[in-house]
Amino acid sequence: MNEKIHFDDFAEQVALEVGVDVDTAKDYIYTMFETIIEENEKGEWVKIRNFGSFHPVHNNARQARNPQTGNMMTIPAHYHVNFKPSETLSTIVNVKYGHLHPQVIEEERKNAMPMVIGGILIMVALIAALFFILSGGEEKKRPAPAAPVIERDAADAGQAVEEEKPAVEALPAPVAEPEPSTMYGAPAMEETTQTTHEAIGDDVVEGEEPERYEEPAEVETPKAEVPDENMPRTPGRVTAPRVGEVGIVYTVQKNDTLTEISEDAYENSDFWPLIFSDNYMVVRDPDLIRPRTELALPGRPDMADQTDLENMYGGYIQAYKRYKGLGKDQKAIWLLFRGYMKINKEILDNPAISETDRVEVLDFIRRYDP
Amino acid sequence: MNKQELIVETASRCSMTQREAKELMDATFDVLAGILSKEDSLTIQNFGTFGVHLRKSHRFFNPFRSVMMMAPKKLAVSFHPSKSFNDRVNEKLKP
Repeated sequence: MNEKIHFDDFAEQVALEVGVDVDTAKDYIYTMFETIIEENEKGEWVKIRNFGSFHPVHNNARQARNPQTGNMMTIPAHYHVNFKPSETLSTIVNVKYGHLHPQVIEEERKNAMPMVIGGILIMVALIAALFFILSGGEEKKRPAPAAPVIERDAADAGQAVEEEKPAVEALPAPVAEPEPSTMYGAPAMEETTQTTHEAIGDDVVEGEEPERYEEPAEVETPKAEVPDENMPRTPGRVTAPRVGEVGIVYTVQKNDTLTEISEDAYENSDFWPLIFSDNYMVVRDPDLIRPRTELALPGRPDMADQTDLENMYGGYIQAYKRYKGLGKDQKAIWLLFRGYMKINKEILDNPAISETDRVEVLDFIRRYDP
Repeated sequence: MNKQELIVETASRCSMTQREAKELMDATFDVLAGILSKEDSLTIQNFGTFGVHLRKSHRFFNPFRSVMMMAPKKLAVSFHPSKSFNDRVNEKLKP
């Protein structure tokens, strides 16, 4: 971070990578940059694929002020060398911020008329809300002395949550963050409950249907309403590609997770690493897919076929590496455990898996299923 | 000049095969990209300095959708040519 790398260290690293001695590497690097300079002297561009381009740019003469004396002076016309990084280099450098995307912060406004109508509608809605609150407040006052305690008891903690929700909805809605909560199944009880809570939290903050939350406040059994929030996905939205067929493209929707897409497409939630490995450039974190992302679904794998099985191993290993890269060591181990139990025991033989992780997975398997 | 021409030129100057020159060049730019992705900087004598700068997030207008949008922060690669590099270019190119 913000260190100045010494040229000798740089040359040493290059020499190590190629397998030559440091002097050769140094000579070569100096010659190469010398060549680039000489090419620029001719006024030519030097374009290096996947790195960037160096080219001289002409600057016209201009008037400017000398910051030390404050006098006007003329800067003569001159050239300066410009470097334009390539897309690839920018992407490599921006790995840390690769998951961020531009977001709309203001709604569309094509002309003024809809704005005026919208304003009038908002005014009417506000007045209506005012009346509603006033009348509602009076109504509430009447039954309050009759049975205040019962109402509290029946409402339980659930109602308290319900009442807070409309306030939370005012926050700006972030992008949905679905998580494959189902993948850890029985052994990961703690994690599963945690993720479901998160899923509820997402629903609340998004607040697409605010009316749905306001109504249950007056219903006597709010407990029944709570599971409703974790809306069941309509199954069978993805038409599964048949064996050997070329895959289809699926656009991610709200509340989707990779496991659920896999369940819909292949009727097996453990095939999600296969989807991930085919889309590893688009999906940075397997736990965080974004709506409107287009996923290419590979054809349905045949577990009896050796190539398909190899592809499945590859998917698991890729997802494992990504988890390790993201620092989610625990999830990487769960993934291997899942693959070992559900797909094939040969998954653990891959050399990409570190020895400590393999030992940990085997230890866990021994405890879970002796 | 593109990369292939640069490889041919440097290989003849250093009297090595084009394959060796290509390997060295790839390694050079790979290592340089690795240094930049760690947000470090590298100065090469008589050539210039490579580094990165953080661009803050900012609002911008999207004319196609006619909406205001928020661009996220990102890292931009920068290169400052050394004085000798600029002077050499100016000497040759100026009439």
